[in-house]
Amino acid sequence: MKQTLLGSILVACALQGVTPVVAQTNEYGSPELIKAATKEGKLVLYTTMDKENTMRAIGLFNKRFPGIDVQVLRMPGGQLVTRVQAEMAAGKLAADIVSFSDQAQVDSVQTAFADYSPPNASGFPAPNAAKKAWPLTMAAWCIGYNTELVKNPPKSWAELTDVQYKGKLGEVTILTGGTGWIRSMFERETLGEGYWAALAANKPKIFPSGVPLSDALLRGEVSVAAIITNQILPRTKEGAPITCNFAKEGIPVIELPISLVKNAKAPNAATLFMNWSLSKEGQSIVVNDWKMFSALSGTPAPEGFDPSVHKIWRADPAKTAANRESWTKEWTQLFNWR
Amino acid sequence: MLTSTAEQSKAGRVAQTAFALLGNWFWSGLLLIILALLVIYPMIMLVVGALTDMDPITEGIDVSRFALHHFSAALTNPNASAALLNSLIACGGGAFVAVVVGLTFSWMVVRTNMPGRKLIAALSYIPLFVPPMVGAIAWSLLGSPTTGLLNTFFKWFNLDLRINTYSMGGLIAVFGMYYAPYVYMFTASALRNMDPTLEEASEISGASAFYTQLHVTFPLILPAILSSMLLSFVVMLGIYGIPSVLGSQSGIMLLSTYLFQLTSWSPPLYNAAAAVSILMIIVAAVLVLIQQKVLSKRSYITISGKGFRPRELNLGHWKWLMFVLAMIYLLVVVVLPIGALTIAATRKFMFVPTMASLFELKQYSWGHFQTVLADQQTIQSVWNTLVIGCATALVGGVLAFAIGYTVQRKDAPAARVIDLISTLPAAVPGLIVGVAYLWAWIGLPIGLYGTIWILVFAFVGRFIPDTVKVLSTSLAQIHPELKEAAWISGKGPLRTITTIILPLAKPGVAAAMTLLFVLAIRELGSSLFLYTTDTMMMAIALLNLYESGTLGTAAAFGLAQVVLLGLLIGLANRLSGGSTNSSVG
Repeated sequence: MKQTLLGSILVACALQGVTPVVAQTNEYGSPELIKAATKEGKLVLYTTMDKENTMRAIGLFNKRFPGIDVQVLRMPGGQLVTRVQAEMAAGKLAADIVSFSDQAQVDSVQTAFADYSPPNASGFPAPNAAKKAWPLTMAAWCIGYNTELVKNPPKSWAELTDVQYKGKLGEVTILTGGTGWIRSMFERETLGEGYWAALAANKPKIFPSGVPLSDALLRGEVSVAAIITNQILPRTKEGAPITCNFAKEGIPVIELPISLVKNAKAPNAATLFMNWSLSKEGQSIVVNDWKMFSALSGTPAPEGFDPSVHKIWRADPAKTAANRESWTKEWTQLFNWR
Repeated sequence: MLTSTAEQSKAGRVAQTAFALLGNWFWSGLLLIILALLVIYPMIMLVVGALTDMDPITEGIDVSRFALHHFSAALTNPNASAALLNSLIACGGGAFVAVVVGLTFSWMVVRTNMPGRKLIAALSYIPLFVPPMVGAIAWSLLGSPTTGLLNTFFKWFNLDLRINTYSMGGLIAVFGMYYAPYVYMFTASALRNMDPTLEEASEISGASAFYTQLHVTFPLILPAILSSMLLSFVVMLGIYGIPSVLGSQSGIMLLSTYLFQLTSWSPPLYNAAAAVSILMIIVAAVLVLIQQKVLSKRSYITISGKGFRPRELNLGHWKWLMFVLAMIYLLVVVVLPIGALTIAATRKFMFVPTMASLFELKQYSWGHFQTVLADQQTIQSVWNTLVIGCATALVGGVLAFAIGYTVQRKDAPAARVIDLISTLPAAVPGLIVGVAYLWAWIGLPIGLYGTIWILVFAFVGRFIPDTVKVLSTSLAQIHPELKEAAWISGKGPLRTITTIILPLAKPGVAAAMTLLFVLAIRELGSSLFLYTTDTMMMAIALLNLYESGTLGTAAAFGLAQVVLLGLLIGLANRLSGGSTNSSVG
């Protein structure tokens, strides 16, 4: 699996290196769009993705399209949606692109976004009716741990309720956005109604998002934590003493949408960035650098994922709609957060 | 004919008086309008927000949907009452520690013969260059119960000693450490300006030197001690950086972090936040009132026109003990935090399981600094901070001068009202100023939100009391005879101000502007709700690096900020001719 994946990446990279200019422009947009985008020279991206990975992708975008400065404001989804609402109310949404952590957030401020389709739209599952959001990537939860502190790492979610982890666990709040919700929903539906209470009894430290949690794991502030792959595996590759396992009961997965702002100040630069992010090259960064899943057909899964062993778990939208509010309230009370 | 001339001149005088009166009213009216916009209107929005059921951001305010339940909910919510109690303990304890540390040092520096006093006096101000959030990150690195560098050090030496900054004690200690310079500033000038004859009288009557210090000196500077304690308490109430870094790790929520959690997460609970804010203001206002009551009841005027040097107490051999104490303080407040930040900023990964691993050179690199330097937005934040700092100093300086001058002239219409309004923001913690400004200006189609000006106005409004206070001392020293002399020689009010008052008040104005500049460039709490990507300041950029990037980059930028703030404060102080010694050092 690893070899095949590596091989396909190498081939992809090699192909991109020799792709003629005409083909490139078709893939990312017309020559007029690229010219206009370069003229705008700047765009503002609001995102829930961590800054390190985002900057890594922007660096690669700028290699292909130099001279377009991408400014980033990163926040957990639950905070970002509040900021977007506030700026919309003032008629001053500063973002050209918003990348939320779930579709519900997009829906709550839908009027902010333009109808948009990338050049390779057919490669993605059908977007929502209004084409307001496209899956930039798919977040997958794994069990992260500090390799220096945990020699026999847990392989299942159930193990996290074991008393040996009391005071050593980290946990991202349910309020962080779609990712936090999907993990909590999975826990409750698959691991049983008592799972939250059992986990809360182990007194996990609660974090606003996976980014500071990743630092806490690295420092050894917590030893084990449910975490999203992009917040841990890129740092494993750099030599940090942290890594993660996919749990045997299942991997909660959620699509992270990206949307183009309707009245963007830099519509061309924003469109070009969207096109590039959703392109084969953009999506290969999602998989190879961010270590996340891609919704673009034909893109391989990230390293370490074996479809014959690991089970992907997705939420039922109807159940989400019916339970999110009450379950979120229950969770925040149980974990004493907010 | 004669009569008509007399009548004419009388009519002229009446017209002149009427004109002057009109001018005075116009002037006072203008100031009242500015103060109403900067102070009263945002506060009214907060009160209305707390008393209605509307979302002030997306729906605007509708007074018809009156509701009292947000207050009762805030009072009965166990998390809110825990946050209130925690705030009272952490900020009360912090203010107490600040007084103990600040007073000890001001006394040692001003009133004893301890060696190295000048150096210690200069170094005591260093915590002012360290933004609270940077200090908190440093103390998280040093004093985390699981990974703190100090705990690793103790373990290495087999010492049965552990510290935990993720605790109430840790919060109190860090608050106290970083606000001790405020107490130092207040009490040092009080000690310096005290008439030594009182102490001499005590000693002549046979009291020992220590008895005199305890029973004469300290009671005399008690108002300065109480004022600085209460003011630091109110400032601490509005600090976000320290509780967000240290408190959140152990689930200790303070009012500031609780408020941020209420308003920033989806769905935002704005009305509940407004109710909590009002409760916070009430707590702060009661304390400010107590402070003013204490000050007005017991007058300790010891400042006279006579020139005198403060008496120095000969500590004998004790002076070396005091010197060692001072060095330990500097180690704890300056050396250790800067050292910890340097390690985190230069280490590839901040995992230090043993002391030995601290010395593995291969673990170190300049990578985090390179990441910070390559981040356009972070670099932009430095520039934004400078621009906003200068604009705040300028606008605030002019306004404070206008207020100070008007209040000083007791004959100005509504002088008392202007005085009262300009002291109100002292009771409003920083974070709440941000919330109030957001609600007040976001809905109005004047385009203030999203510009640097909303930040400038918020800072100006927030720091009016501090600025006016610094200015009024120097304005009070300008004798009214000078103004009268100017009028008699035919100068109009404007020319009197520009040619007589302003030149005389220059040191005060410079001090006030420098103070504003320093306060603005360090501010985090009130800018949390008001910034956008274009107007991000250094404090926000640091918070973003800490919460959205990595600890290494946050430490690198934090360290850079300490150096930058040191340079900027030094420069501002030099530009204002050292006139800020009494205000910011």
